[in-house]
Amino acid sequence: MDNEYYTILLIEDDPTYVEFVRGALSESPGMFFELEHADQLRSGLERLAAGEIDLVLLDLGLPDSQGLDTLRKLRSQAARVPVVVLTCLDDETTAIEASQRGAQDYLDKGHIDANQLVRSLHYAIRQSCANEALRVSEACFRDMIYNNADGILIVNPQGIVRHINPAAQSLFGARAEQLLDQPFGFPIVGNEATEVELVSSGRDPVTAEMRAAEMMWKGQPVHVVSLRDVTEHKRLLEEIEQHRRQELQAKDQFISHVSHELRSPLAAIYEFVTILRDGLAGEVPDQQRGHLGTILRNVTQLKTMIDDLLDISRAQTGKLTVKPRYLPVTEPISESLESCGAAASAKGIELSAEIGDDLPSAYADGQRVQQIVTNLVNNAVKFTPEKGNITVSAGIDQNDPDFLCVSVSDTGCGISDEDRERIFEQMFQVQYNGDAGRKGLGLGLYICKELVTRHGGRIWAESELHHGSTFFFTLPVFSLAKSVGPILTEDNLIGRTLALITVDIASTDDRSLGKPEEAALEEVWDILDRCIIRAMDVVLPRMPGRKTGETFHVVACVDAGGTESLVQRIRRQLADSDALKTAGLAATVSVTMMDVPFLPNDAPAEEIAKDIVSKIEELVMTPV
Amino acid sequence: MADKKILIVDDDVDLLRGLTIRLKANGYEVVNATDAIFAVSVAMEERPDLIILDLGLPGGDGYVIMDRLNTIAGTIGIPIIVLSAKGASFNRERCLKAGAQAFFEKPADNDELLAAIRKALGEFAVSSTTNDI
Repeated sequence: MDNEYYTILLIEDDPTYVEFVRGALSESPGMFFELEHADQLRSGLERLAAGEIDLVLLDLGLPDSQGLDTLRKLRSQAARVPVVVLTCLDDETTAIEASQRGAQDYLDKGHIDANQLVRSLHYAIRQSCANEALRVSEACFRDMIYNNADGILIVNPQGIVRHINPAAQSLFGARAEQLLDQPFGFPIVGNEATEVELVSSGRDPVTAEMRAAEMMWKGQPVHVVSLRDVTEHKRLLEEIEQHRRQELQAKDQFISHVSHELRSPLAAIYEFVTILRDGLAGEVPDQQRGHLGTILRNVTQLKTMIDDLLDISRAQTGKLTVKPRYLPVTEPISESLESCGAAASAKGIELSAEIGDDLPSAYADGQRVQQIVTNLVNNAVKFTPEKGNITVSAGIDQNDPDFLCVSVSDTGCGISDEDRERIFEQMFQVQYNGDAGRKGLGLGLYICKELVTRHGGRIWAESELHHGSTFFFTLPVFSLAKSVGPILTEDNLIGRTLALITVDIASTDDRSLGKPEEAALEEVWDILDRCIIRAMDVVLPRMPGRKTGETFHVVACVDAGGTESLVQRIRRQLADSDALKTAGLAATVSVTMMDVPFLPNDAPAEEIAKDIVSKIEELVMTPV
Repeated sequence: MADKKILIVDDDVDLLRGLTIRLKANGYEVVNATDAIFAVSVAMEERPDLIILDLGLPGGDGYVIMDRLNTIAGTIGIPIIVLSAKGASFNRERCLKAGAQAFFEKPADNDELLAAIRKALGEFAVSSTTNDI
């Protein structure tokens, strides 16, 4: 088309008109037409079949064919070549019919001059080229959809499948006719990949990733849905994940085994060193006693390392757990200070605590908090020169009043900015040439971070090189509202009332409860948790009980009779508990019915909840 | 009053010797066993006032021993303190549920262990002043 050089086939039996056309074409400016001629339809079709014809100029009245039939015959052989029809009939109806049957134009032999003829041929060719380009482009897009490896469907706004490609058919395991005009069956989410499971009888379900986009199709907005088979991909991912878990499990088992085997000789070393030091095997001179102290200090260090190793392994397998409860943070802090006191005073370091008055209690695991503080203080002792200061403080977090912030600050060597970013990483160790002693495993701060994170808090450090460091961590403030809130919904409260079930655990011989009873107390909490219906009842976190006991609370949304059956269930299960019997503990269950406050209808649900929480607080927190 | 008798069951003979010295120094009479079967027969014969029990033992673990002791008339109710190198996280609760009075992970602090022994024996608990571990 670029050279504007065209071959025209004229099928015409009138020699005069052939000459007219030849003349007209030869004079056309800027275009070159090669004219070929056939005087019958049959010979014309033969020539056409030989190819290289850009346009057919067709007389409808031929010796071997007449009228529109001539066009039909030609079209049936050559569907795409542009055709301009020539006729003597000055007939509008034939003209329209001819164009419907695929003629580009219709010329009346009697009323056309050379110029008009050339112009008509020119436009017919142009139009045909444009049509052809469009057809090719359309076919190309159709092929793209047809041959796409992803399943592609067009779904109308009513969710009915209007078009489907072969890949989609094989994903659904069904033929097009079974799927077309049927509901698509999956909710369509725009702009987001979702996974759908395609089930078909006689084969395994196929998982497909579905994406949808909106577009206009045949004049209406539709969704183009693409489905990609991710079955194998997912299976591989799962395999990798399972493999990873198995590896971690194996590593965990290995570490458990190793630490077990390490503990035994360590216990023997510890025992005999203390026997010597304590003079159980005869008088020990002071100097030797000092050496034995050094051995002992290293035994302790080894034990800490073994504990850390186990913790790290548990953190990786998700077994490192925290059991939060009502916790006045002064308790673990004082215990930590006590256990670190000896190491600090050996270096002449002053170890002190600053704990704010009226500090609310935390919702945290006491043993774990003690582990965190001890770790931070031990680090501080290690990096603080003799006669330095270490202060442990606790107060409300200035950024978030729902959290407590505990800090350990020292007057030690400080941490450089670049180290500060990495100290919480596993096995990161600060390069330090001072007298900090042996480095250890470099796991302590990593474990601290894991533990703080499991409490829902965060941990960070601030430091000035050579002047000291402060480590901060936050713990959630104990809040009854957070525990009770979720069950105080309108649905739960309408037509029901609230019961506060109190379970007092005390020893049968009035002794105070300690670590040995802890397992039994945890069992009590588990029993209560088993008895309740989670959507409507809640076991409150453990709170301080009487000096010689422990008190548990259940808040239950109950209807008539519901309280009695719940209390009976709790009583029965507590009575059956071997753990309680072995620990010599007895349980007393009592119930306080609470009025659900009758507030104006438009009172927001939070107001009602707030009112209920403060009532529960009053009942629960009153010292017994 | 005669010295209270403590049975230590542990297959680690070094630790066994060390603990024996420690307990004797604190005024207890000590008997030993190094495997599960022997442990039960010593317990039946000697009727100790308390048993310090390891978990990993030849011939049956500590849990088996606790079960056995609980079925023999003469040994029911003897207080048991578990002293094990096995992890506390999996074993502490299990031991306490099985009837042990206390669980210690090796190496256990001498003072804490002695305090637990005194408590289990119903003796006056002396507050500990030094914590080594």
